[in-house]
Amino acid sequence: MREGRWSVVIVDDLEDVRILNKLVLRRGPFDVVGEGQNGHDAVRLAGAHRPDLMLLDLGMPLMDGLEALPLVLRASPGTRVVIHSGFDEARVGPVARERGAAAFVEKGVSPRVLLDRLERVARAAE
Amino acid sequence: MEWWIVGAVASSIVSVAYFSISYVILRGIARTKQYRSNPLGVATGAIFFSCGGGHAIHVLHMALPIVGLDAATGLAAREAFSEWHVWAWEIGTAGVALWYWSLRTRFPALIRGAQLFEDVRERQKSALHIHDNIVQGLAKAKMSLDLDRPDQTREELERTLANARAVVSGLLGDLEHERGIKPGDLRVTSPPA
Repeated sequence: MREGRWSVVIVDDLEDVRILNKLVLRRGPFDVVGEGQNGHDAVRLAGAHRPDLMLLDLGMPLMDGLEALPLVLRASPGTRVVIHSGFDEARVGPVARERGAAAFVEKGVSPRVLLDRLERVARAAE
Repeated sequence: MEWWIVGAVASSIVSVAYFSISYVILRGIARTKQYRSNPLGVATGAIFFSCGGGHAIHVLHMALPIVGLDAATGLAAREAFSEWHVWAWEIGTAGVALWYWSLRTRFPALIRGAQLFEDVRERQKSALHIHDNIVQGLAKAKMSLDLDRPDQTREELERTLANARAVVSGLLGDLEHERGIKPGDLRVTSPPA
């Protein structure tokens, strides 16, 4: 982590979403150090970059977010994984938390809310 | 005491019960057209039919001497049923068969089981399809709006609207394929929120 900033890896199968997420993160104390499109990428990037945070989608090809979660945490135990998904938190959130997610943010929340949630998770880990 | 008669009666009960059970199961399979999708259900119906036939043959063999046919086979069959463990087991089997028959109102679960599984899989596929094509699109549109990117917002909304129509058409398409869309089919149960 750079002084006062946190490193983040973004994993989402949709390029548009990754671009929009990067635009949002640029507004906060976050440096995007890697991008991936599926669970395999998530695990590889976690091991390669050991980011402070990972913004992880759930519905992805090859390996979904729920499958990747424990593998990411094994590859980089210090990484806090924040699920960023279009699925309903009430329905999928508990499963994600059970598998090690630090937080669940539904896609479509305002940039401010996303940044606040990420910052809260990052600070809680320190 | 002619124990073979006891055995023959018990065997008859087993045969009738098994044929009836087989009929109910296979009728359910036929009605729901699950010949291929529910092999366990078909095999269950078939095994009851086969065993029902086996017991019927036992009874037939024992009855043959009565009509003066194949006395040797018939008498041998009667002799076998004179052993206590044979007729005792047959009586026990008849009891189990009648008990199973009494549970016939629960047979639909056997048939529905596989169909439910197929339905759940189809619903899961539809849910993911809707998520990928509509929920994701709306989320992207909202993110674009929040980031003051009106052109991208408009583009995303138009694309999502087109995807939503395609999803709806696809789902209605199944209905059309089955029996055609009829007046009243498009009636909604409650006004939108």
